[in-house]
Amino acid sequence: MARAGQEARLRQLDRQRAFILSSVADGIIGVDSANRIAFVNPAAARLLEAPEPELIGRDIHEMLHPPSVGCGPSCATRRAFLASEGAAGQDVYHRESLRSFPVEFALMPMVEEGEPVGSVLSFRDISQRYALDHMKDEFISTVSHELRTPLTSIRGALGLLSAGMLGKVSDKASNLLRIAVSNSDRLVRLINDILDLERMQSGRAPLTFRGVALEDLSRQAMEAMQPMADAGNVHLLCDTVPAHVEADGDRLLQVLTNLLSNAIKFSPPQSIVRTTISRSSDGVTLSVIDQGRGIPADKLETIFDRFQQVDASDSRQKGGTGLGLAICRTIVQQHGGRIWAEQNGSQGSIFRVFLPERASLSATGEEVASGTS
Amino acid sequence: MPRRILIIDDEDDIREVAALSLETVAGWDVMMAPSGAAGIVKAQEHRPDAILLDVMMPMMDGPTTFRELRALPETANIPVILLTAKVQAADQKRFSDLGVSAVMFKPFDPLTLAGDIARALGWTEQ
Repeated sequence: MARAGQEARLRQLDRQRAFILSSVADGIIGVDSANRIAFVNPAAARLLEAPEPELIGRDIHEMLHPPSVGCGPSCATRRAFLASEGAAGQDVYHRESLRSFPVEFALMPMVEEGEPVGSVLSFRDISQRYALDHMKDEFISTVSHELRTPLTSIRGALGLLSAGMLGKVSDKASNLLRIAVSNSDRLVRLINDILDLERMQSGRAPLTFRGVALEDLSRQAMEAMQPMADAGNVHLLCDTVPAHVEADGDRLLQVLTNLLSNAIKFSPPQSIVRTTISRSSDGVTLSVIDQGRGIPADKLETIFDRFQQVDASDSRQKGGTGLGLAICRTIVQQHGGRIWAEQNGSQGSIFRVFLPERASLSATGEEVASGTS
Repeated sequence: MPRRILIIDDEDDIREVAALSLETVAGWDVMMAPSGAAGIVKAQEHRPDAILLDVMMPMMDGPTTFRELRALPETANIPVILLTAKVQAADQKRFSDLGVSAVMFKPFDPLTLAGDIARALGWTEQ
């Protein structure tokens, strides 16, 4: 009697298991220790567009990446299956028809009493997500174009008037025109920054990592900012040591010039803006130190948010877009680093950027063979 | 002899401002056309020294217009500069792959437009 009860219980559990697996929207494939498909749920069969009996017994990697397609010698998926490793991420799977689709997957090895007995692969089709990303790209491109078009006429007309190309203008008129031109330029910078930030944060502007000499980059940034410093009678000093990092040189230069530009903007005449580099065991820290009016303690974190300025009058007076530091933070984070601000005693601010020596694995970007370009 | 430039852009205001810029700053002669098709006809008739070509135009866009100009013997050798508001990296690559002489961006500085064109085309102006 007890055994009949046990069998009934087992059948019930079995029915429950089958029910759960068949109602899950993700594809689930059970693989044996020889990497052959032992089990597929209905969703997997549907996603792979093949009936279950045709899938059972097939080699899992050959099924998903058919030899005719060729996934390369360093295929992460093949490696994971061969090594019975856990893995997760994105991939491209192929159907019998060889039509492929992008997936998000998770692979879990199964171990019984210390021995690998197979693994379970779950995956979902993310074509929809790719389509959405594409739509977003198109939107961004269109918006950029639409905003720039009327600005072109405005900027062109004002520039000609302001320079007196169409007749002499009174001093007051000249001043107004100068203001108009300057704000048109600011609008263009704002459009550029908004789009730049949006593209970076949505991963549509991947970084390209290569070996970078940070001290050279600092010097480059300083040279670019020298005219602005001269105009404000601010002295730029370089106090750097050679430092090598894996980084996207163009994007890092963007960060450095932005930090220098801010430092100069908020520094009084005759003051000094110093750039320093220091090395530690795990990376490099670059600092930009100014003697300007400083940042209140309660704003040291929020200034990195979008459109945050220390003082409401800042944006008008200094011509900033309010996005520079948000962009810097996004770039530094994508390098696996950190950026923060400190008070420089009672006079000024210190902005620090920490970069790990090797690009962090969580950074968004492609690794290029190391070596200076 | 002043340089002769043909501006092809569907936006009336941009044509006017660009023309004014080239005329008042550099003293160049400027022709205008509001579409790719009209621009091709003008280019065949007047053989300008260079063409400033917009990208986003209805019916015949910049790249298509450029290919047509290249295909016609009368206009095949006229240097073409794309003037575009499409500034993203992917667009830039697509444009430079076309084989135009240069790609310039909107908004432009009206005081330097002529100089930028001259530099891009290797013209030595006074």
